[in-house]
Amino acid sequence: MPIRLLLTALLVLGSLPICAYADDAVADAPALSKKGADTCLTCHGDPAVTVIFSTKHAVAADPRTPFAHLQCESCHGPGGDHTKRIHPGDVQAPMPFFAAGSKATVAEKNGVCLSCHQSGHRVGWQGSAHQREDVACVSCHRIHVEHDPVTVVAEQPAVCYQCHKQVRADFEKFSAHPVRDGNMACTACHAPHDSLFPALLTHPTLNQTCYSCHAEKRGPFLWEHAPVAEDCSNCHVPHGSVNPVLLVSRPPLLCQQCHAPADHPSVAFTGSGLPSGQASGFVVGGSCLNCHSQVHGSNAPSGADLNR
Amino acid sequence: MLRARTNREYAMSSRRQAFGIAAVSILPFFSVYAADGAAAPDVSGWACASCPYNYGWSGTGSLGFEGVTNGNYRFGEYSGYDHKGLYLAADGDAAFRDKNGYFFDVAGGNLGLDSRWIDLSGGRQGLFELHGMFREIPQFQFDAGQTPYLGAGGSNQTLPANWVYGGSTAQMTSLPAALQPVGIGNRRRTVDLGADFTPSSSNWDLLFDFRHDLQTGTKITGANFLTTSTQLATPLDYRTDQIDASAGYSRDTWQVRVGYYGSFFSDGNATVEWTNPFMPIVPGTSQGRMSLAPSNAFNQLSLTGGWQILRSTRIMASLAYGREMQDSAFMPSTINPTLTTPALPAGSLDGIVDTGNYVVRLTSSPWRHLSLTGEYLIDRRDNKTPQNVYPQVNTDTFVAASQTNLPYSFDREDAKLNAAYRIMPQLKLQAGGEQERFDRSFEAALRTRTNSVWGEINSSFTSGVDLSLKYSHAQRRFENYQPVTQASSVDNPLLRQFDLANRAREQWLATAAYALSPKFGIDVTLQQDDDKYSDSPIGLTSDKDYSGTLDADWKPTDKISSDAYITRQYIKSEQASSQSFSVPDWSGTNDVVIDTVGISGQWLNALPGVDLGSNYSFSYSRESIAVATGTAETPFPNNAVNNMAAKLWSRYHVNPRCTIRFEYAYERLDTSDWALDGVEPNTVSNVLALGVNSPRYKVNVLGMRFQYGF
Repeated sequence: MPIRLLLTALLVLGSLPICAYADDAVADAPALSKKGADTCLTCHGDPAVTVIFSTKHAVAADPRTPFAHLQCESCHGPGGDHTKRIHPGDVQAPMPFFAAGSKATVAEKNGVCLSCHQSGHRVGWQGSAHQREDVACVSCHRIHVEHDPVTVVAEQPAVCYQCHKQVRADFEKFSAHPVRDGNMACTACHAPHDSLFPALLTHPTLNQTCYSCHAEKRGPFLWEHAPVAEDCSNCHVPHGSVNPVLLVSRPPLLCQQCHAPADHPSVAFTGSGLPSGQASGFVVGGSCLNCHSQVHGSNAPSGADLNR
Repeated sequence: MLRARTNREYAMSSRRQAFGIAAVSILPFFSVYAADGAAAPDVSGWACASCPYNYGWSGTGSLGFEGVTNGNYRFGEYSGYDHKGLYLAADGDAAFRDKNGYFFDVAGGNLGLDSRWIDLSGGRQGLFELHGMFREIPQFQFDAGQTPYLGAGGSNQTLPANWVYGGSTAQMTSLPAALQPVGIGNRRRTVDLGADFTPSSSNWDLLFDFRHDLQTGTKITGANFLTTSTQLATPLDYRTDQIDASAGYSRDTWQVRVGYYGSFFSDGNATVEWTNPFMPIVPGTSQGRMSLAPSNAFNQLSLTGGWQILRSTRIMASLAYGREMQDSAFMPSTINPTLTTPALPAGSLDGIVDTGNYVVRLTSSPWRHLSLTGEYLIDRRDNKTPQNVYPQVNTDTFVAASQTNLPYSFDREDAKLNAAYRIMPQLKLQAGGEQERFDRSFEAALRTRTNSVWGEINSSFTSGVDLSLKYSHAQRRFENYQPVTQASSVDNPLLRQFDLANRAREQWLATAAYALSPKFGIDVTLQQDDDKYSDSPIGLTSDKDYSGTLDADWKPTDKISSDAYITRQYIKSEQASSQSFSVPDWSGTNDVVIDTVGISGQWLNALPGVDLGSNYSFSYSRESIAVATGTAETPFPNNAVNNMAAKLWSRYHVNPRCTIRFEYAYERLDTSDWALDGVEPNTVSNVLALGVNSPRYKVNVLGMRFQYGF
């Protein structure tokens, strides 16, 4: 079975690293600075840096924070080389991480963050879409600010839009969730760090995610509309649509993409069904929903046709 | 500032940090600092004497007013500016910190509007945090609806005593005098309370969150008797309680979290009853009754974990098992007293759906520049709702053939294998494959299989230039397609539902980013999604979505910054169907073009103590729908949405603590929608409509606020 074959192949490949990187080990880590933050602040005392002391990263009373350990060097790496005396003609060594001139790769930089933040909701970072695309934690997060914009509902979308350009345009469309108005963040639906489930959703499926705000559509209903129970995106586009209520297209055409029954022919409705002609209830108002209003499912015993 | 969900995730691992950055040993590339087991460096002399810790209170508060001209429901949707006049402008935040890690944060915004929010949190960092949130969101669908119903928006809607029943809306001669305005919309109020226990002395953490949503208002519901229909403003009185609790345990190489999620929904109204405004076709059809959303519950247990098997190999899994339940009492088969129907087979549904969502992911880097990821996912919906035969009364009018409910289940398995190889620092290749098997019950295609492959190349050979190109191809095939014969109506055998039909999907994504200088950069994104349903004689036959975006940002100085973008998107879908229940005899095409533009900029200290800024956004969509039958047909007019919003602001710093902010905003919306425009309550002979129209407005907002910081 292909599925098993794929996993077996991966397991075999995964076992190879047992002997890999043996020559990578470095016995001695670089030296630290002499006085830690006191050394750093000698040169880096401007407010853009020292604002860190107003944030959760600089709470010495919490033994898990950087300032309960190696202070600035918890994140920026050992500063021994950077802070040592330099002679005329020498080039000052950069700090290992998060500094101008640093040669650290994205994975290495992320490794610094994950050394503390691997648990919680970041268990599945490895192999996630963002990790695969070399997104650095600092591509989205700002550490030396009082309020990291990506953690603020109204400011977070702008951060996500740096890469998700089409989504930015989607939220400007006529029908959209209230992201543009600052009432909803992308993380209301997406868990960007680690969700193991599709589209980095906060819940295991798209429908379960939608139900977290639209629980009335969960059911189960006596009369189900199967595509609804399976996948909300069969009819709705979550980020924005030019059609009402985030529909992928308009009824009656939308409904006619799946329904052409004998007792209710799939009539070719045209502009003649508009008020300028002979206004038709199949076309205007709610179109198909003028009668079949219970498209998400009905619990009425006589509601098999989703109209009660 | 209201924090996004991620900010609540401050549960850091409590692993010992022998070396501040040692734990990155989980990454194969980062072996330099892998000092697990190494002696901790002596930093006892690091006094941090010059560290400017910020203890005590700090914060800002602002108060002022905003004046709105030409209030409009649509402009007020989500924002709260729904009527003309003056609004209180108030928001602020405050924070307290002490050296022992105790903290308290409070923030609020839009306090004078119906879109207000407040966020609270406090506790002791490294031990516990309590947090709470309140948010209100107004959603106004329409405000110009008209209805003759007394009790509109309620669960029992009647007509005036002098109502003239007619065979058509034109014959309802009492309609004009009976019409009264009715708004369509709702308000959602959310309260969220939570507690996180994250003791630094333990490897455990406990997270608890309770959220209550109250959504009240009205919505449009079509209610019919055979071929006549009425648009009602039906009540919306939803209450949802959600509980999210979990316990986590973390060690250096493995982490695990067990959780419970519960959702409990109730509707304040079980049914809505209304008087038939049309002349009853048969006796007894003067009243109708419809079921509203039944109360339901969902309980889910989950287990999520990760294990660093080897330095470069990690396995992660998330297993979630849930149960949906719905057992609200059925309403009778009909409200029509003249009809005799068999007894219902049950008083309620006893609906039970078990959900299983399981995913396992293994990542490994067998060689330095190669990484592999394999993933296996199961998504299961096992509907255990009992099947019964239910007598049917068609629209409270006549007894029809009984129907058996079809409790729908599915079982989806999906396997992926992805590989990424960095050939050189400037060049990375990625490729992957995926296979999906999707089994369904009570569907025209009981099994579909989808195979897909993709490849991607990322390069940055030239300094400041990043290029990437991604291509994917997916092929979905059904094994057998048979219209569902148990359904109340059987579809044309040539129909292929688009969610089940054979489909070839091709997707391209190309991006190019060019930083011309540290001050100026541009990037381009092009995207093409193509779906072809070549084996579908009837149904959706093709679906295209192309888009392109050009972004530019310019930051000439530290004080001046600006950015701009333009996006054009083109969506086209084609479908075919049959009016004669035979071969395709008509086709439909839907073309949409959307242009979106955004420009923003700010100039700090443009004048001594004065900051200036502006934002501009523009979105213009044109939708063209054409139906072809082989003869000359009346075309649909285009639908369009033309939205422009501009804002200018200035901020004057009176002194380091006091700021005065002026703001002017202008927004214009012009829409046309042939489904709504010109449709008055009596426009359609067999539909008594609410007479709502597509929104149009021009609104100016002028505001001033005084801000104080401490």
